[in-house]
Amino acid sequence: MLGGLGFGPAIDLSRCTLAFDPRLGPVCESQLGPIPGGGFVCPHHACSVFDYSPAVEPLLPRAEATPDATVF
Amino acid sequence: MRLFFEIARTGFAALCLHPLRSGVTICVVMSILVPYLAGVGLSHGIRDVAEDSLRFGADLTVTGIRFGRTVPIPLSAVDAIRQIEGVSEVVPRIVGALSLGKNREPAVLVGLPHGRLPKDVTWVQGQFSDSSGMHEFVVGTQLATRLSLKVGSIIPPFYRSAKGERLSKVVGILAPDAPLWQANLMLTSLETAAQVFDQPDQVTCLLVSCRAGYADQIKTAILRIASPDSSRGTIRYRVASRQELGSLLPSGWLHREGIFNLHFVLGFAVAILAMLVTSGAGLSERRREIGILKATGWQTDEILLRGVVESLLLCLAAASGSVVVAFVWLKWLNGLWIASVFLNGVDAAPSFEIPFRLVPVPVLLAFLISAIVVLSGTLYPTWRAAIVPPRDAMR
Amino acid sequence: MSVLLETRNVTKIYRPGTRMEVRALDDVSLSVASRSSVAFTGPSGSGKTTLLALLGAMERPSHGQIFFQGRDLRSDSDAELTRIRRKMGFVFQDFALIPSLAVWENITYPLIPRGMSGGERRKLAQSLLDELGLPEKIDKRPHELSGGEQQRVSIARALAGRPEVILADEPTSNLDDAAAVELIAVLKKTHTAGTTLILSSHDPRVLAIAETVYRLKSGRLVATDR
Ligand SMILES: Nc1ncnc2c1ncn2[C@@H]1O[C@H](COP(=O)(O)OP(=O)(O)O)[C@@H](O)[C@H]1O
Ligand SMILES: [Mg+2]
Repeated sequence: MLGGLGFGPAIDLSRCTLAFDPRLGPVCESQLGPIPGGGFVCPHHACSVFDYSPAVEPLLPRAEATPDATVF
Repeated sequence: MRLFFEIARTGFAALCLHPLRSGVTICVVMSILVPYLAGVGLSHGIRDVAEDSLRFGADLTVTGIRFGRTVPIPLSAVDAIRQIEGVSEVVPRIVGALSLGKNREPAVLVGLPHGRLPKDVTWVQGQFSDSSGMHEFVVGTQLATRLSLKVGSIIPPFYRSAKGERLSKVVGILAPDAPLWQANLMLTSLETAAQVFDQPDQVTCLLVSCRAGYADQIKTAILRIASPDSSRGTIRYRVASRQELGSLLPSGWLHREGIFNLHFVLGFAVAILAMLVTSGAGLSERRREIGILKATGWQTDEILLRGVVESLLLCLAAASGSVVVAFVWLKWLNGLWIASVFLNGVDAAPSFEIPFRLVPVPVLLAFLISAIVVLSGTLYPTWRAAIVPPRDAMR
Repeated sequence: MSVLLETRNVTKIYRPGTRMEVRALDDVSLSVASRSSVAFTGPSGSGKTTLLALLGAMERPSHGQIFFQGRDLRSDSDAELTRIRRKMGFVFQDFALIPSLAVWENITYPLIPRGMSGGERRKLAQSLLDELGLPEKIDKRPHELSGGEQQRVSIARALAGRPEVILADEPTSNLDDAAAVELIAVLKKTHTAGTTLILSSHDPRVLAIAETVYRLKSGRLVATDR
């Protein structure tokens, strides 16, 4: 319908973009340090059953494939 | 063998003989299992809806980056990408956050080119006019409830752009059975959205459809494009393909770490303690009963068998009760209150249908967990009472 | 006459090694013949209940030996002691009925691990209750019965397993006069039917049915009457 919208446990963008849809922003901006067990606390989305790891790896261009598009 | 069943039967009888104790035990177990099953059920439900959102979504989603952060894309990029071989369609889209009303209700504003707006879809009541569609909005159920909007309502000016402010009109309300992310949606034309955010000629993402087999190739091509954005330097692109997003979908609850599991482990520990305390409440009576059994010739293992049967029946009752309650809660009560615990931004009484699916593995785990809790809570005291001389237990 | 139970220099110390140490029984030696009836008497706290519990294989002595049918119980495991308890019927001073069970279940619960079916158990409970004069109380709960009736249920439970010996701890202490008289009659009848009786009591009417009366004081056997 809308080209695909919605993915996670949040139903608006007010707090965590990643929890609404990782297509709009691949990282959770609110992640705080690690908690025992290896998870990360995002005060807005980790209280749910969902815990997406930051989508940086698969979503950002890989350096060797796109030498001229490396941003980092 | 018959002896075994006779003793097992007394375990069942013992369950009914102490309705209060059994009831408390079942309640304690259910109080941790129901939120657990509801949470996992919701997560599977959302996963299903998210899969649909991926399947019916674009093949590639393109966003812009500067300094490694997400930024808008100039509308001119649409043409550049259309040139790439294999691209069948590029749709610009604006997705932005804003807040409305005196309570500053959060809303997600989505703008799509006028021709792409849903004209006559089952999950919209009402429709956009055939003309420009300027300042016409279709709003989500929750937003409509919170702002008491109906089809035909006029929204007073809520933004101020270079072109001044305008009244907006609600031309449609999304149906409650639309996917949950539409709850706070405001759907409008691309031009209106650009005006609301006052970002002429910019969009937040591009939705690219590809001919079969071209996706990877197109992705690489897009990543090679660096759009010079007039005087403001160059924008690079980030491309998310359907597979990459799909890989984000959690493959099972065990893969999900973080606070939920932590809470659950804590709840579990608390439940075991609660069980020990509540069984401690009836403990002197229980100890005495076991002492009497032992004094009158019951062997320790026979007493334990009776206790095991009692505990297993208890945990069976608790676990199946939890499954039923979780189902009823999510299905017929539509996740009243509990959905807002697990879903971010949802009202206590959700104004849309909560997606959920109860799957076998967590249900089996629920049985296992309740077995552990009940056995540690009731069988352990039984065993303690059964191994001492009967006179001690009876005291 | 063969010896059913025998104690040799039995001492029972509660909470040994602490300041609260209690010497409940001190060097008690006696023997109880099969089919005889004996009674222990003595002031409260003299160790009657403790002695009965030791004779009933409910506890182990701190020192000394106890023999049941010539077998030294010292080396027996808990499971073996339990098996020996199945040959005895114990009547507790406070009745020790299970409050949540009906009368007939209370009477025959000890027989479940011995493989008796529910139907048989109910029939047995009915016949015992008929004998003890409580035929219509079979489905009542213990709290619906008077003290005397509870005591008789407790005796019915002790008799249900056809024990070699009945051990009754102050069987009349919680009963009114009429109930006590009835109860003594029941005990007498049981004894006549060939069951060994071991009683503890202050009640002269109970002591009257005993062939031997042992007098205890502060855990010591101080006298033997008859
Ligand atoms: N389980 C126990 N722990 C500590 N002391 C006990 C225990 N049972 C009995 N006693 C003590 O042993 C003594 C003898 O008790 P008991 O055999 O009940 O006497 P009786 O039945 O003649 O009144 C009493 O001083 C009593 O306090
Ligand atoms: Mg006593």
